[in-house]
This record gives sequence, C-alpha cells and structure tokens, in this order.
Amino acid sequence: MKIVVCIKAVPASTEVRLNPETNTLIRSGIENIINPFDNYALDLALRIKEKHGAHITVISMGIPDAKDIIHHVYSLGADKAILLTDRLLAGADTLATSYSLASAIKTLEYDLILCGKQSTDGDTAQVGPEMAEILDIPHLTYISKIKMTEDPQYIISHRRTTEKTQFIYTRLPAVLTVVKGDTLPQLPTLKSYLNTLNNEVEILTTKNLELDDERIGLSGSPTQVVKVFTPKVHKDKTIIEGTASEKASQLIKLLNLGGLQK
Amino acid sequence: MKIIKDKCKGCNLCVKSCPSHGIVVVDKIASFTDNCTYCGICISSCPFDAIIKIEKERLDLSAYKGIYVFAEKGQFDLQAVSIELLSIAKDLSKDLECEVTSIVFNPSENDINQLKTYGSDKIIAIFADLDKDNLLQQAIILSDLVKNNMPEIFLIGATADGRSLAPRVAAKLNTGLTADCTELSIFDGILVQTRPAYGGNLMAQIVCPNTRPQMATVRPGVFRAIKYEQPCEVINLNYEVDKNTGIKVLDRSFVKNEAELENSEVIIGAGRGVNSKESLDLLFELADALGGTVAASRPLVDANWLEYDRQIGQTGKTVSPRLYIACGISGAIQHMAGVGGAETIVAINSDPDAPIFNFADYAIVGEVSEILPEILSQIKKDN
Repeated sequence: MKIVVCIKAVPASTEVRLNPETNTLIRSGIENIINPFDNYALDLALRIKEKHGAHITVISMGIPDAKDIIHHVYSLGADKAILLTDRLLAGADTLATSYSLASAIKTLEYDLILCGKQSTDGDTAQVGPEMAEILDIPHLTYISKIKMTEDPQYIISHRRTTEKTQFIYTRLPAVLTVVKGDTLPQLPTLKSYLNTLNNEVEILTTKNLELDDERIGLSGSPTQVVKVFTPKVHKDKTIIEGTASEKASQLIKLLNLGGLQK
Repeated sequence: MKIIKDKCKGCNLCVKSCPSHGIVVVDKIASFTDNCTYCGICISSCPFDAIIKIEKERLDLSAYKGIYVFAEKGQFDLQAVSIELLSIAKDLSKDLECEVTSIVFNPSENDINQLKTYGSDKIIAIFADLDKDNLLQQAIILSDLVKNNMPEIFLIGATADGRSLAPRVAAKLNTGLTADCTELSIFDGILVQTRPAYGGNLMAQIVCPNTRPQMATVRPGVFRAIKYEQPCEVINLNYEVDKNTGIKVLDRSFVKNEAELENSEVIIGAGRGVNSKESLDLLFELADALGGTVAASRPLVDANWLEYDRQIGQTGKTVSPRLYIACGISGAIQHMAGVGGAETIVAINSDPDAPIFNFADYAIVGEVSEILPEILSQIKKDN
C-alpha cells in the first residue's frame, strides 16, 4: 500500500501569547514541532506498514525552516519526506493550502492519504476534506483505526467522534483525518535516528508542479485574516482566603450556591 | 504586504512580533524573509504604520443574497447548535436586510416546527434517499443547492459532522470557510468572523471578501436560541442522490451521553489535583447538590477515571455553563479551550501558580480534598 501522510510544523502551542500592552507575540521558547495530531496519522501509517507492508511518503507545506522538523519522520520509519516550500505559496488559507498540497500529491502514487484531525495552531480541520474534494476522492474525519478487507480496493475505517462511533466501508484512494487510536505514537530509537541522519528531505517548489497561479498563496486565498488579538482574560479575580471552612463559606455566599441547590 | 520605507524607523518591534522569523531589520529598514506567511501580525505591531496590506479590489457580488443555515439532524432531534445558528443568522439578517433560510434533509414535522419557531423566514426541506450518515452525498446536494440559489452567507454548526461536511462543500464551491467561529458580525456588508486559534490563545478576525457564499462553522453553545413569531415559508425539494461516493456506513452507535455536558448549567471539572477516588466522589456529590454534572480534563480520562464523554478541552467537548468549578485542574490551554464559554469560573488548586488562576473569577488555593467537604457540609447545613 502506498501511503501519503500530510504533516505540518506548528509552534509548540502553549507558548504562543500576545503581550496585551504591545500587541506583540511573546515568543520566548517558541520552537516548532510536528503538529501533535499529525503524529497520530503518521503512527497509523507506521502500524499499517509494520503489519501489512507499505511505502510511506510524508509531505509538508511550510517555510524553509520546517525542513529539520520534517526530517525527524525518517527516524520514525517514513520512506520519503517532502517539503513543499515556495515564497509564492506563503499566506495560503486552508483552500489554497489544500489546492497546493493536492497538486503535489497528484505527482505521487497513493492509495491512502492520512492527515491529523486538525493542526494545533489553526485548529481548522479543513485541509483534509478540502484536499479530498480537489483530488475527487472520498474523505472521512475522526478516524481512530482502520482494518484491511479482502478487497484491496477497500478498507474499513473506524470513526470516533464525541457523539458516535461508526464503521465505514471506504473505497481507496481516500483521505482520512486521524484522531488518537488505542496506542501512543512510538518514539524513534537511537539506532533509527543515527541510521537516517543522512536521509535528504526532498524540496518541492512551484516550479516542479502544475499550478494555477490564481489558486495559490495569499492572493489565491478566499479568506483573509484582518486582525489578531488576545482573548479577554479575567483580570479582576477574587482571591478567597482563610481556613478551609472560611474559604468554603465565602464561596457559598459569593456565588449563592445555597440558592443553586436542587 | 508592503513596507513603506520612509515610515520605517528600524525599531525591531515587528521582528519581535513575528511568529515565524518572517521579517528582519537590515540597515534600519525592515524587510520580509522567505519565512513570512503574510499572517499580518506585524501590521498591528508597528507604531509608525509602516507595514500595510495591499487590499484586492472588491468584486460586485450583489447578486448573492440571503443567509442559509444548515439544520443538522442529531440522534433524535435537530442539533442544538443548528437552532442557535438561527438566532445569530437573524441578527446578521437585520444588518443585511435579507432572509434567513434553513436547509434540512428529510425533516420530521417536529424539525419543521422547531425551525419555524426559532426564526427561519424560509425552510428548504430536501427529500432524498440518502444513505445513513453519508456526508459526501449531503455535500453534493448542498453545494448544488447553494450554487443555484446564491446565498451570500452559509452557516453550519461546528459539530463533528459539520466540520467534516463544511470543508467539502466549501471546496466544491471554491469559496472560503472559517472554522469554529465564536462571533459573527457585519462590517461594510461583509461577514466578519471571529475565531480562536492556537488552542484559544489568540483570536483572529477573518473575512472572505471576494467569493460567495461566505461560509463559517460556528461552535455549539456560543449563541442562545431565541423564539420568533413570524411567517415562514416551507419549500419542499426532491433531490437525486449520488450512490457512488465510495463510502458506506456499515454500523453506527451513539456514544452514551450520560454526562450531557452541553446542556449543563453547572459543571464541576476534575483535574490531576483530584488524586483519589474518594475526592472524585466529592465532586459527584457537589454536582448532585448543585444540579450539575462532573467533567474532566484529559489526564483523568486517559487514566480511565472518567469516561471520554466527560472530557472537556481541545480533544474533548466545548461547554458554556453558567458556573464552572475547576477542581485540581492546572489550566492548560488545551483544557481552557473547552471552557471559554463559561460565565463564571471558580478554581480550586493547591498550586498558587497554576495557570487556571489566570482564567478564574474566584480563586481558592487549597487541596480539593479539604475544601470540597467544607462546601458540601455547609450547603447541607444551610438547608
């Protein structure tokens, strides 16, 4: 089976905050990591490879700096890593990103395309389904595991949302967005890390692809960010002090908890 | 984006503001590097207005009219968020002087009545031989309908299915989609969509100026459903269904939703600081006393102390209770992303530096196992 896994380099998200006075990003210790949800997607691919054999290509669209992060997937067991990077792609929203990634994936062979459920920076969960539409293949979201069937053209996908679980007969090729399965993603071993140190991340640019200029980058993006700001945080908090008993009675009075009682 | 060289003083504030090393100052003049993603954060960081975004010319899109709201069916009735969407759509329609139309697949009489009661000017009832839970079939029909009828705005609830369906429809229509909005408004005839990013650390305002419809998914629990008394026209349409979408749901079961977090006015949250089963029982006792329910942060669900349907946060549910009492919860942003809608937050934590206190209206430093018994015994005494 030929699997393509899409990953994104994201800032280690909890570090990202705006300084409310200067409206500038506080970037102390911001380093980029592989989007945590994409690790689940990669892990699912690695488990399929382990059990049934597969060729795994990891592809990412991002800034040139993302190369080192993408390289990490070699030590986990990916067979090929590609970074799609080009100044002309910068500023892409989800639709322009989906179009660019789909155009790159079209040049590869694939039976299954896996993405993380969503990225932790944008949180949109849109690129997987939009890519599938552009590639004209089915998509499913919130997949926690898959099962092979006797027909190599089909798999059974296990979808798990907060509301329901479903088993879905799925024709390949398809795009699945992946949530955490029953197991935690594996870590690279020292040996695999050393063995893959010299593997190269292949760089793709717009020159390597057939792209419609009107569908890429900032100018090809239907949506635009007009403003970024820090959400309101509670500043006027009331600190309740005293003994445990005093704290409890103050809280009850302040919130009228007695009145809330059933 | 462009840097106006005469205005730039080389102060470096933009460099500090940039999350992706996309701007540098060389010889006291800022310039963009290959890492720039055009996010625009530097624009507001510049005290000299030296960075500007070059806006595209706006197209004439006046042929697009009206707001469409997708009414998603839940296990029994319509999803609560679909009804909530009608009230925000109604607000927007006043600014745009247009109609609000609900779209619903194979509705029951009850569905139609609900959509009438909560502010639809029109209901398009689509009758089609859909396969169970086949979102791809629904996406084809919805995009056909929207292509023909040309609404200017199309809203979908940010449920699990809504978040799968909406991007498929947006890609078919080649238009913009903004996910998980928490606020919508009209400015200069355009839909301004506000949404959290970076797990709730930042808010972004997004517009879709040149393509139609402007599509957004909206988080459940953000808007309140409101009843309207007004006329409503119901249009029945029959649609053919594409039977070759490549997916077929073989089996489906609904997760038992005992916790019903989405509808709870009072939620008691359990975090790592609840370190014994006895303490956890105290939370249930308090929830019981206050007519609320118990939720959990991820570590407790991962440790199988509580079921997944009680998990709040980025990987669980989003809730908006009137009162959230966070017991032993550290306040990681991934968790707080799920309780942003809470009206009042009480935090009980033994660590005075726990981030939860930054979000709390009332802060109590102390052990959950000591504070809760006091609260319980005192409420009981009061009665």
